[in-house]
Amino acid sequence: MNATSETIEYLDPTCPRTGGDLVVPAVGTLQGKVIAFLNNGWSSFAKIGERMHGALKERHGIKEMRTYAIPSAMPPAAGLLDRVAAECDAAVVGMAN
Amino acid sequence: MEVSALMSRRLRVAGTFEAVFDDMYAKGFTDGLPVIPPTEESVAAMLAGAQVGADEVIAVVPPDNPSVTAEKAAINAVMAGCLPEYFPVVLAALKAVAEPGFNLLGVQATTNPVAPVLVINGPIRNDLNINCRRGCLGPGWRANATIGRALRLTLMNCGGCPPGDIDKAIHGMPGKFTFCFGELEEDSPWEPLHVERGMSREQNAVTAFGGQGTQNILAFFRSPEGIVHVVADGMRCYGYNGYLRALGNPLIVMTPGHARIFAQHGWDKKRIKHELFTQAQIPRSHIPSEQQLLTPVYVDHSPDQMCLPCESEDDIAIVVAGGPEAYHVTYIPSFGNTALSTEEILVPQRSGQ
Repeated sequence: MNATSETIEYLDPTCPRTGGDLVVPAVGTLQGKVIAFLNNGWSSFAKIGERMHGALKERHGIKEMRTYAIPSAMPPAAGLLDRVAAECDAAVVGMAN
Repeated sequence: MEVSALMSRRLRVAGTFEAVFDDMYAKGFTDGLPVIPPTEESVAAMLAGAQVGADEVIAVVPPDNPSVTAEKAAINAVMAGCLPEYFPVVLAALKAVAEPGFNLLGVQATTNPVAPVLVINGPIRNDLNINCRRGCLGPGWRANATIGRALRLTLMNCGGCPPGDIDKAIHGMPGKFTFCFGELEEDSPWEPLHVERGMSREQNAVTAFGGQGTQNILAFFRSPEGIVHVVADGMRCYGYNGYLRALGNPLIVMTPGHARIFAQHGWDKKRIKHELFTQAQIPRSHIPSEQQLLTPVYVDHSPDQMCLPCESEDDIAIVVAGGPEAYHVTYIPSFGNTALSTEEILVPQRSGQ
């Protein structure tokens, strides 16, 4: 042990936190964009979706919001995210409840 | 190995071991129980136990998703109280839970009381004195207690998932401290779990389940039909997550005594699983039709249609362990949004072996 009579040295058990760099470019303006809404099945999230749809339409002028069903607490079916990326400009993703 | 090869930040505390624990607790590094200070020497010894390089990446652990090295796992294993010879099991467990099907992100962050349940198979159970017998799910065995704890500390510290914060478990459960036991292969009439999963008896393996605590079922019947009936009745609770999605791996921990009764009557695991799967189903009419906060897969079932505890009978796992008496069966309900994951334990060859 690296210790004097007064000091004990130990190793940090945590991992350094990496920066939160964007992995895709920000969408910028929402005007005229198609927005995906990935609904994870929580009734609370469905209500949020309704309100967001209204706000995005009225305040930001989106063209359309398309809703996709994803499972709660687990990854979506294979290919769904690729489909969303192909059909929409940005997405609101239900991660929790 | 040279301790200088260890890359982790060094932290210094003036005073005693108690002061180190106070410091680590204050920094959020512990599960609340005392830990062994992970010094350079003890971490190097832990790595030597698996003959693995400090910088070898073992797994990516959500939600922070860092690449967790053997060094970080070794630090947490020292803290948990592991002996170096346990470390290959810890590494295999970490790889098992990092498999995509296990859905570690969900297990880590959910409001459910879920933790990895580790079942150890193979000769290593006896080499490490992993308890497979009486009290195997309880206290008293260093290997059981510290291997499971090492995994949990690694997941908390490296994944960035402190309890009560990112770990959103509403109540949590004691198995979030540690949840590890061995299968009593020697007293089982059937193939052990890892052989069912495609390995040989001579291989060492860990299988991880996303389990939600233990439910004791007192099964005093002496016929297979009676035992299956009472176990299925314990499983048949639509509040368990498995019914929500008809997914997951319900885990039955059966004593050698009960297993012997089944075997004497010619019942194999497949037949038991079939009966449990059939009898644990619940008619849709039994469940209130009002809207739930989360929409279950059975929402549009007709009243007489059955709701399933998991997707198929093959998803039910049966493990023989515990004391010999044919008294109690332990049922470990599944988180549901998770699939069991088996990983071989790679035990290094020692000189002279």
